This record gives sequence, C-alpha cells and structure tokens, in this order.
Amino acid sequence: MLDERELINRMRRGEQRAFDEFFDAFAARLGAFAARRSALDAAAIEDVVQTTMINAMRSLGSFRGGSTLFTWLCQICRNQLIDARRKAARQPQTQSLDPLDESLAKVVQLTDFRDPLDECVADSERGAVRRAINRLPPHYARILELRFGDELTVPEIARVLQVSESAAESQLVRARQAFRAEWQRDAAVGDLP
Amino acid sequence: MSGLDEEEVLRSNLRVPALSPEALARIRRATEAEWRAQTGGPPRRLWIPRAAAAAAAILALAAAWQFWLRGANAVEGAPLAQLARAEGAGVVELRALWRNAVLDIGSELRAGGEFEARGGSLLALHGGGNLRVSPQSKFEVLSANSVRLERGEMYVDIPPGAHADASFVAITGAGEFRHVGTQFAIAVVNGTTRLRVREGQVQWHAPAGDSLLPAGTEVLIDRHQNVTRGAVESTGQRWSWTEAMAPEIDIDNRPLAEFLEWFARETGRQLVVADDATRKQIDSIRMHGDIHGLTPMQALKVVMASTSLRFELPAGAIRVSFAGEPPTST
Repeated sequence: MLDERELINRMRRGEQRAFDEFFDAFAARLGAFAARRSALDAAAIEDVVQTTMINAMRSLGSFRGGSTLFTWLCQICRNQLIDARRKAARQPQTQSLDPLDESLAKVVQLTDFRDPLDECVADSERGAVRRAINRLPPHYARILELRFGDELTVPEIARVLQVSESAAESQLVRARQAFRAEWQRDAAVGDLP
Repeated sequence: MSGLDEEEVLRSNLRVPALSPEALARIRRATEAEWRAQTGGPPRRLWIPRAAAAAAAILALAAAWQFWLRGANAVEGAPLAQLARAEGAGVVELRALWRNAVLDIGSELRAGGEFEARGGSLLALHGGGNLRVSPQSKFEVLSANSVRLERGEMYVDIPPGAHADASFVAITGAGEFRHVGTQFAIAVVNGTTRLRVREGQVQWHAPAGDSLLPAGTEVLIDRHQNVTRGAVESTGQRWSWTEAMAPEIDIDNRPLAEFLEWFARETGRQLVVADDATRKQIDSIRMHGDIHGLTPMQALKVVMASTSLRFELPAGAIRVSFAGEPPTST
C-alpha cells in the first residue's frame, strides 16, 4: 500500500520514481472521477485533469495527510469542474467551421453518428445519476464508483479504502440506500408539474 | 426501483471511457514539467552515462544491421508515385539511423518510406492522377495505393477511370479516406483532420462507421473524433496552393478545347461555352508555344489573349464566348 505522505515527501525532494508512482496511481482515476461527475466532453475532461494535476504540483506542500491523496486531488478536481462548467456556459452554442484557416463557410452543422432520441434518453438518465451521486456524501459516492464504475469486488474495495471487508460491505449497503433516496427525490422533482 | 434495476442504472452510468493513452501522455508531460519547475527536478542520475554508452552501442549495431540490409537485400516497397516537381527544399526521405536524403525529380516514392515535403511538391501516382503536397507536410507511404498523412496537407487528384483496380486511400488519425473519382484535400493540423471534397465523392471509414462525403463538403474531425461538417466552394483562394502545383500540360499543336478543359478541372470550375459558333471555334483552334511555369490562371490569360475569344469567370464556372460578333457562316 502506498505511504502517501512519504510519497509526497519523495516528490518534493525531486525523486523521479515518486513522480511516476504518483502519476500512474492517480491520473487515470482522476479522469474517471471527472467524467462521472460532469457532462463535459473528452477534450474538456483532459483539460480538467491536466489543470488539476498541475495545481496539485503547485500545492504539494499543503498536503497534510488529513485525507487520502485521492480525496485531496478530487477536491482540487471539483473546483476545476466548476470552473469548466462556468466556461462552457459562456461558450457560444455554434462552432466555427474554419478553425484551421480562412473564413468562407456557409453552413454550420454539428453532427455525430448517434441516434438523437437514444442520446436524449441516455443523457437524461446519466444526468439524473450524476446529480444523485454529486449530492451523496463523498465516501458513499466513492464506494459506489469503485463497485459499479470500476467493477471492484468487496474485498478489493476494502483494500483500496483500507477498511475491513465487513466495513466495506456495510458502507456499500448504506451508500446504495442513500443513492436510492436521492434518485427517488430527483424523480419526484422531475414529476412536479 | 428494484435492487437489480438500481445496479444496472449505476453500472451503465458510472462506467466511463478511460482517458486515452495519448491524453494521459499529454497530461503527464505538462504535469511533469510543472513538478520539475516546482521542485527543481530529479537529481542528476549516475546511471545516465552508462545508459548513454549502452544506447550508443545499440545504435551502432542497428546501423550496421541497416547497412547490411540495404546492401544484401535489394527488395524495396511497392512504388506509389514518382516525384514530378518540387519547390524550395524539395522532398526529403526520412531514414531512421541513416542520413535523410533529398529526392531528385523522377525518384520513386515506395511503400515503407517516410517523407517530408519541405516545399510544395507534385507526385505523379502510378495508378493515374497526382498527389500535391503542401510545404512542411510529413507522410508515410504504406502501399502502392495508400498514404498516411501525419501533418500538413495533401491534395488528391484522381480522374475518373484511374486506380480502377484498387482505389487510393489517404489515412489520418481520423480514419481512412478513399477516393471515389475525386479531387479532395486532406489536412492534419495539431491532431485535427480537415477534409474538403472538391469533386466526386470520398468514402470516410471511421470507427463509428462509413460515410460517403459528396463534393462541396468540408469535414473537421478533432483528435477526440468530434465532427464538424460544413460546405466548401470548389473555387477560390483556399485552392490556390493546389493550382500552383498543378501538373503542366503541353499545349503545342493541341486544340484550345483541351486546354480549357484542363483549366476548368484544375480550378474547380465548369466550362461553359456560350454558343455553337464558340464551340466550333475552340475545337478548331490549335495552340502554339508553351505555358510551362505558369499557374492555370496565368496560362489562361496568355492563351486567350492570342484568340478572338474572351472569357468570364462567374462563380464556379469559366464562360467562353466570342469577343465581338461571332463570324457568320456563308
């Protein structure tokens, strides 16, 4: 198991292997975290993760070990997601046809290869799950993501969270109950006239 | 919601696509640069000189191996094209472990070769048609009918009937672009692919499926496969670089009609002949001299000045008519 405070100390001393361990342990997980917690596209997720990691490098000295390193990174990432959402809201809804050069475009039409109706239904459900997960206490959200997003077994989750298997099991049950309550609340709000 | 439904909802919505290896590599570079800036980077490593010595030895062995291969094995990749014209610093063959070679006019570009056009270049395709490459483009010849464009821009001009047995394919990170009797330009800039179809159709094969893109279509595909589709005109400034690299034609003792058809194709215009008398005239006039070194537009002005005809260039067309009253037949 990674000794996280020692890892940060080694990174601050400039040890290349420590940086590699840090990056390999957290970058991809952070990408999954950002994708689950937002509706941003792949390019924006990449930007969010990059900015999060860069900010983390600037704040290495502020990590005190009060939470896990991943929780600390997730907090930085949440702030980046809020910024990214604000920026996306300010962006125009159309896209330039000629980002590479010149300016003679006549028709602007965004296309993809998916059925719009299917996408609409899927987006709606994804949005509801995202809202419910974002309202849960972080440790409940995390255990649901490990179980259903990363497909980890209960013993594997117990190892990641550094708790006993029975503790992981009961935490998972409570997390599912909390999710169900949030999901039903979301549905009830959605049904209001 | 039942327990099983709940699990399904959570599973299907919490599974997300992982960051691509390319994205992770970009993030790693940026993060590592910041980390070095903050910490002063890792201390100097004692193993580097030893590693460098080992690497040098491996390089020497590899170079010897390459030398032996080149001497002993005369088999080369299938030829794609011949270099017909090159401007500026020409076309360079990039050779791993070997000095890059500037190609002479007439050199073959073969499968397995990697090339960089340092100036505008014109390649005559063996199956018919030509390939025009803009300066600073880098590409790899994959086979007698396919090229991978890594950066820069290429213009593919394959007249109908050419490459009948195996169609020409240009490949970028966005997929495969197969000609279907075509003039099209394909560009790769910072990982984004841009396709402009000038004439005919292009079949685009991508992981999401195949699309047939008709003339007048412009498609931008970014490195995350996001697609923006729009329209593009077949004439205008954006094609001027391709016109400057057009294959030259001999006009001496050839009918004017042939020259006008060449001009129309090279500039993406439709040839419109005003009337029967003009048609008769352009079929009967035989030209003399040459237009080497001139762009299609310069050549048009020179050629038409020596005839009793005039031309106009309305949108997308060249219209030819008599300068005055057409002669009356007696």
